[in-house]
Amino acid sequence: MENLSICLACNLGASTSILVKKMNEVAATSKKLAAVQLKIDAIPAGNISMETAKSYQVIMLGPQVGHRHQEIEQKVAGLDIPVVVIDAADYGSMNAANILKEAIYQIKTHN
Amino acid sequence: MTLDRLNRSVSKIQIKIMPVLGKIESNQYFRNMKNAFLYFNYILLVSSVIAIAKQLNLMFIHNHSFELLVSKALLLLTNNCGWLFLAILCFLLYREHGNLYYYICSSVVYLLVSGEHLSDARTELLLLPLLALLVGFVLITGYQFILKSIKKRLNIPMKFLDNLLLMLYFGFAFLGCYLLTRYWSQLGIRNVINEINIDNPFMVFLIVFLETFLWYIGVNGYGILAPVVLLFATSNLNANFHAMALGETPKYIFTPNFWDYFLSATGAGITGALVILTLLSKKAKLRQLGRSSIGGACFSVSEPIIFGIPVVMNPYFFFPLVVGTPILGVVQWFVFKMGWVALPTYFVADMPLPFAALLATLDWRSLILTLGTIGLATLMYWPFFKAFEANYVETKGSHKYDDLDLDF
Repeated sequence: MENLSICLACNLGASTSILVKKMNEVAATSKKLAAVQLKIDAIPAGNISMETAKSYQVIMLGPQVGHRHQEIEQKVAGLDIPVVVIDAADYGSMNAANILKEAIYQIKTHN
Repeated sequence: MTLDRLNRSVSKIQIKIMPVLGKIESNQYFRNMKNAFLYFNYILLVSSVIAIAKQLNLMFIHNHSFELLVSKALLLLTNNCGWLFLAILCFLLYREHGNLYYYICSSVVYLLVSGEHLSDARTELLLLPLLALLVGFVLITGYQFILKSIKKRLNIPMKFLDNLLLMLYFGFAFLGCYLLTRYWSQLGIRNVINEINIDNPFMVFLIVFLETFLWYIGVNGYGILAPVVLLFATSNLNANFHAMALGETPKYIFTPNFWDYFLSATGAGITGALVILTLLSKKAKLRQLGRSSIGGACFSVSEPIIFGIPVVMNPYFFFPLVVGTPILGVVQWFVFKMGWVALPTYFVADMPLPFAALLATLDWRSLILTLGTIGLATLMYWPFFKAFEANYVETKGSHKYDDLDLDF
């Protein structure tokens, strides 16, 4: 895996911005991810479209916008990328390591 | 036992309400309204900077020319806020759907219905652009319907018919709108619209109740309520700016600043109180959660603590979150109403606490109000948190990711 591009989405992109920082910190300490080109962005869930999502391998929704999962999945259906809701406990405790693992897990096991 | 029964009832509501909320949030008009407010924040920020400059000049500098200049600038902005909001909303809708004529028509309707009353910066400020948008859509749809019906019956050069009908239809339609507005003014309907407001204790309770209830079922309450609440709250803020520009005293309490920096101080549901309680907890995992939530609480981001404990669908926290915080909100409203703290008149966007409260009011007593609110909220959550903590079991991580061969 040479590239990893993850899109995090919440209501305004505020709480996921905190998460992006923590996930980048976790990745920076990892030797296994040292050679990987990592891109993690936080955007408001309402801004997700085919255009904005095309450069990502996975879309991860904050649990507070989990009720929009189906809508967002339909919006990016043509891209064939996984859209998942982040585990509430991991999200709440800002467990960036687990969320990064879940992103990699989703990318690797998709299809 | 009672709490379990309560949670089962809430759970039934949750199952029914979730698909509806999903549909509301995916609605194009709802989404664009929300985005329009995000862009409109820039205008509010500019107005706030001018208003703060005016206030500081009044308090310390006393320069008459500067006073005149900032008053005129503020008046210009507040008088044209309706136009600016309509322009932003039209642009966002046009960007998504095209059909420019809808928005041209809406602008003409807005010009006619606002007319000489443009300086009237009260509740109707943002309701009128919405009304104009709606009337514009109805007029265009009516025109298309009539044109189609005529074309079915008559066989004459199309372009000629289009132009003739367009002139007649819109000439009379706009004239009708103008006459209706004049009649409307005579009936005093404008005053009735201005009376519909959220700046009263009942609405404060209701809005905070709905917001925290949505959080309780795991949905961002602010995200759902913002387009409607901000419609009124922003109008109130603009009315406060308008009063300041005219040298009058601002009177509205429920502004976006009141919602963001006071009702949701440290996050919706005053969840900073829970951050404090988790930091003092005997359970290591809860203390760790508290530490990771401090940053969010300073910026009024409540997600980490709400999902971390979790508060979502956790019966221990139903009463303090869903009933307690609305009551605290009403108390805060009365503190402003009694004049104990200057009104939250200045919008300072995503400034962290305590600077947000201080700059929003330019009054040091706002710090006491914020501290008092967090203190009361901590006392309110405390017995419920203790009951929760006594039954809290620390869980261990799963082995789901073992095969990924990662080193973190």
